[in-house]
Amino acid sequence: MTEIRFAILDEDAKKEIRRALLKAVSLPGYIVPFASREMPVARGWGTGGMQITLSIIVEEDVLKVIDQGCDGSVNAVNIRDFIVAATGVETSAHTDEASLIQTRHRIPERPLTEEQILVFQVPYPEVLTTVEPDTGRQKQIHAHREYSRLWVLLYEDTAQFGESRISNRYPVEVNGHFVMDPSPIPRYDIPRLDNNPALLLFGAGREKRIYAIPPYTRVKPLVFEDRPFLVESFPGQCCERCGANNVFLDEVHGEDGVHYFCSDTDYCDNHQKRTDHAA
Amino acid sequence: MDNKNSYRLRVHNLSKHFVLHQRGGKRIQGFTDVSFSVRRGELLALTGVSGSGKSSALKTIYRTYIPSRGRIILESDDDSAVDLACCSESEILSYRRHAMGFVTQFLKILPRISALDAVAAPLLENGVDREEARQRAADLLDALNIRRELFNVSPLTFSGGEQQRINIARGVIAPRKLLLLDEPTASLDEDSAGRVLKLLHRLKKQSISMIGIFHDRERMEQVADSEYQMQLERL
Amino acid sequence: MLLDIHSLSKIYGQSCGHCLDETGERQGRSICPQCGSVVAVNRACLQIEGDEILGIVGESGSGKSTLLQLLYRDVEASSGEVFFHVIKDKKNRPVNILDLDMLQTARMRNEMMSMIYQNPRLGLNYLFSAGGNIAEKIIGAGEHRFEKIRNRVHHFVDKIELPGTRVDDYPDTFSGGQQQRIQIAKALSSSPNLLLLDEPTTGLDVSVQARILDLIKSLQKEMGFAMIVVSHDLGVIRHLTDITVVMRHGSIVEYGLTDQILEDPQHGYTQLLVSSIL
Repeated sequence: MTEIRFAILDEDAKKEIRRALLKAVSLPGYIVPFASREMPVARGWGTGGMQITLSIIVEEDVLKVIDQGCDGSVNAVNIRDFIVAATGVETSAHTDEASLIQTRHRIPERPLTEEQILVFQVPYPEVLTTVEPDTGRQKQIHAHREYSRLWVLLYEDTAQFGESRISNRYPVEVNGHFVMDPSPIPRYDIPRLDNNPALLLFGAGREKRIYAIPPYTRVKPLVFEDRPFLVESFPGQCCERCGANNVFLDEVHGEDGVHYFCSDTDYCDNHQKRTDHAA
Repeated sequence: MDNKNSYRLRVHNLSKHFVLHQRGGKRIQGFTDVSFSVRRGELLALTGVSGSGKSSALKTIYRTYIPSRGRIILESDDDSAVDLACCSESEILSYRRHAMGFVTQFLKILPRISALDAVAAPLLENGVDREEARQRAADLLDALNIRRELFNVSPLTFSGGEQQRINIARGVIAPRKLLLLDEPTASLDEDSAGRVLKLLHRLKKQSISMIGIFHDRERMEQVADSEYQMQLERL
Repeated sequence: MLLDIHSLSKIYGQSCGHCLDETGERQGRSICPQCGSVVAVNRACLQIEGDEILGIVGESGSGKSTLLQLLYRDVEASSGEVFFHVIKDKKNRPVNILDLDMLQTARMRNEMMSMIYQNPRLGLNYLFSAGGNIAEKIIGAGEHRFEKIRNRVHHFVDKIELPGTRVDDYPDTFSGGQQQRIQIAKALSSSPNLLLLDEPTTGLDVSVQARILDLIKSLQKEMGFAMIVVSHDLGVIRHLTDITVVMRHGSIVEYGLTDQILEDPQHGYTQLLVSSIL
């Protein structure tokens, strides 16, 4: 009987994905199609991120998986257990210990390093779908950087609501060229894409698309020259658990009112430890 | 300054005939071998019986009709001369904007524009500022005895005589050096006609040259310096 | 000189090489008898100065709309050259716009040449508000400052006499005449050098037609762009244009001052056209 292969995917599949990744890294923000494989979970549950992770993971890697900043959520736990079962790599919840981080909807609070790779799970890779449904024309728009229509959406929101209504998936221009969908991370994380030392990879399993932001790449949100880019702020609020007030907070609505907690659980644990020490 | 003795327009052997292709190439003669000259500040009257081609001659000079033969020499103030008969369409447009005007008895203006603005428009096109243009338009309309309560009304609602005076006002407020007048006093009463003739005298003093058709010999003689009689074509 | 069109042709079908000679005004047909190709425009030559208003008349199928589409590059020409003198190469020579790539064509449309279609659905994006539609062209011309864009949008909304309170409403909520006005504002918002109009008032009721023509004419006087107006309606041509071109079977059969075309038409076909309409 055949052994279970390291990282499940056969070598040809990994090679195909790595080739797509190489192309994606060469053309920052450009969407590269790939032959998305069947995974033991349904498409739409992180299969794009999983395939990237499985095609680049090596035995020495230390893996961290988060879902909306949380290492302990059901999806994160299941994906992490699956990858460990398929590879036997070590895992860690600590951002600074991980070499490979798969994420859904967040970038860890702790700054990443050149030694790290962050893999995003992406539901909708194409930033233009709202303004141009035709995929052929989408390609032409990217080729000619004719992004006026995205700016029109921004114009309409600004005209009617004073600023853009986009809360996540905020369009960003990568390396002064392509405009891309950064996956559903909050606006708070957008400035942290810019000039990030880590390699940022994006995988959409259902849509069969891969794209990337290489280390130290210029990434800026689409924003009018005379308008600031506003991110979520939580004035007067801090994490009820660790007391942090300079991080992205989750709002938890309970019967007794609204509670605020760090979205990044690793950051929260560390911060709590440090404050306990100090006390 | 203008040299009063020099010519503004010289017409040589101008002829016009029409070919009707829909009727087997039937040829209709308009006029033949018309020659005359107009000096600066002079008004020449075209006379002749009905059908002798007076209006056709004006239209041919203005190039609404394409000349069949002959020359139409227009001189500018620096004594350079062009033959309108062989100018390109773009050149004609430019001369129409700057050098020659046509005043018909029919009002052709946009609806919804007040009498005052309609008359001020040619000044605005020449870059005169809006307030001054409106003031000069008002003075001119006063001189032509248009009632002030009509100034802000569209001329399309006016009587025939009022419309004609608006039309003349538009034609002369920023006068081109050569004006072609097709029956400028046609449907005017004595008082209005007198005012128009007075205006034409004033234009002559500004060395504007004019070629006019007048339906009324008496009025023509009050203002014309010379006369050219068109001959009825014999078939 | 603004636009210089040299021997511009459009053939639909597999040309046999004789199509241009076998069709046109003199042959009295636009379908090639040898190969069945349709010659929509046959070796058109035309020149337009920077502030001229040119009309193109002719019956349906004469090639007048196709000629406009060739200039706007909605349709690829089969042969010929079009020099648009505001687009120059590095040596300051005018460029044949038929050679422009897609990006250059987009730039030309965003900054120098605009089209107003008979059907506003072709010229407007119904997913965007009226203001958004006008903004798209301004943004396309390179403006990325919100206040500038907003002010310019309002400037043109005023010009087309649309209530400022409706600037953020969607095109579907406006009447046909108002939609056409929005299209005009969009086309002019980038201050083009040349405006192309394809039957701009056909399909509107008569009183609305007159007001739209009035608007176009006053904006032209104010902004000073050149225009090419395609219409089968000689009233529109008389009202708007300085120079008129008559087309038949894909050929230009007559070119002249508009008053001359209407009062002293030279070509037999023009005489028929004028006499049948007046």
